[in-house]
Amino acid sequence: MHGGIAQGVAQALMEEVVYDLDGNPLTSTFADYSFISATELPSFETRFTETPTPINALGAKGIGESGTIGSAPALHNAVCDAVAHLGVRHVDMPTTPIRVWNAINEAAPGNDAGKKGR
Amino acid sequence: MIPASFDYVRAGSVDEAIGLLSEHGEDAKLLAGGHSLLPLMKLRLAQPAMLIDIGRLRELSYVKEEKEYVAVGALTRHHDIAQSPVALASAPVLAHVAGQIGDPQVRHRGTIGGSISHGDPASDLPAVLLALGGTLVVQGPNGRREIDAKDFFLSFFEVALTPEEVLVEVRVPRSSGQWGFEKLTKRAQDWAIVGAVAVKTSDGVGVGLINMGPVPLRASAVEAAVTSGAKAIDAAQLAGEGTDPAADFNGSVAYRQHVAKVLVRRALEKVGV
Amino acid sequence: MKVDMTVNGTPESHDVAARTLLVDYLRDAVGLTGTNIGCDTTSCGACTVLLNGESVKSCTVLAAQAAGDDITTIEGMAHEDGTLHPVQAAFQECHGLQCGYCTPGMVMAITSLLKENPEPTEEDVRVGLEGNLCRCTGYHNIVASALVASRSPEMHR
Repeated sequence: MHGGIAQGVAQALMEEVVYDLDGNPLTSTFADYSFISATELPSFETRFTETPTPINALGAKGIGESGTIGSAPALHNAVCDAVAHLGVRHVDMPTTPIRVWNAINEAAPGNDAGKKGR
Repeated sequence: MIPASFDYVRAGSVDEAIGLLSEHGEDAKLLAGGHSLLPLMKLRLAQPAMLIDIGRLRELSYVKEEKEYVAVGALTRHHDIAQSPVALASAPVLAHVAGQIGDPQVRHRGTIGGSISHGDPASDLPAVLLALGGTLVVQGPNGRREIDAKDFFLSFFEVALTPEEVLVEVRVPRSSGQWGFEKLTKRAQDWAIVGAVAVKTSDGVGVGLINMGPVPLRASAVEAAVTSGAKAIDAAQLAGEGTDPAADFNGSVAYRQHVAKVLVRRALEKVGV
Repeated sequence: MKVDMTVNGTPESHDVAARTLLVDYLRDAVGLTGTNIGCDTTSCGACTVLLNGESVKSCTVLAAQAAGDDITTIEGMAHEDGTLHPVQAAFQECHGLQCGYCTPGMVMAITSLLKENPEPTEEDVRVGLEGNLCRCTGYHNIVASALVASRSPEMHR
């Protein structure tokens, strides 16, 4: 769970493989690829809910990386919500500082390009 | 990744290092902590034929209080500056920033002299040196000379050291007054996307910028505005003047200039402007 | 060139090329493969060892630079009778690892951190581990391990 949450957060906020226009990788080391660290993350509180499936006798379900599946949209929605009052309807993932700034500028009053939404 | 082959020699004194530099010229590079040079050598972006290891010259590792300035030996590690009681008392901004470089392992090896003579505009310490109005003491075959920090950084990764000179001491005016240091990074260990430092000095307020051009910069327009009585929010609007930042996937030119204004304003507010 | 150093209390002397990195000296010349090579760019901390008691990234130190120094690797942490070092024991107790690749570096980094700051807060630990990356754990149990280790009487002797 913990590792999955961290990876989802990282995907939402910073981790991204970037190429230049010629296809050269720009994030080929961990100096450039923003692999998230302990400093950027909080500790987690985990709670369990049990909902057995009626499909099989055991009630068991597959559960792979459930933390990742939930944490990425949660973080991404939080970022979008934080700038929603500025008219921003969408920010591409990961929501790096430059992307958030660009989204705010595009949504600024007088900039029609940003008003289309997606 | 392994660097290209080189000859390694450990210098026993500054004079010996200068002698070796004079003998081998541009083929030789000084090695202090190695945390700027070795990564470049591993990526084969640097391939010196000879490394002159000065890392063991303990006589160049100190933080001393002089009458008008704090003297830091060029081989003092970031970790030692961050912990130094003298630095904490008389150059607190230097101590703080040294403690923010890279990560603990990097700070256990990297030195102030190595960081400054590398001339990387994205480094934190050069901007502090510029804001404080520091001086660099370099030693060559003809003895020592002093260079103003503002005259030290010539162009991208190029500094005012001649091939046979060694940076031996960094001097900053004593400044126990207020300071502000702001750095935007995605992760704690990253280089600054943009950084700003403001320090109250005897001449007014010094402002340095990190990663806003090919060399570490002093925000002269901001400083002048503050001297004329401008408030932080107004003076900071001039933070982009004279800058020439690179554009990369962490930020466009316009973005970096915007962030510089924000960070300079915050730094100025911390020094009471 | 001949490079001598002390590794986990044992004198070592090996003939290596000048460009040999400390991590390669430890793994290939000394034969201690507990220290991992991760990113090779001073970012991930998997190669962290103690150099004269302080954490360093051994992929960014030349073996020649460490000549004459005292190196401690993960193999030198447990006591001779096999009792784990308090930081190792805390990792076991708190389930502080999954795949284990970052673990030797994490243990060494935390040992150095606790020497400099014997009573860290959670925030101190998180900031102190900025140079050590882990893909599996989300760091939660690693941070818990460091805090548990900090409360071990052996760490305060």
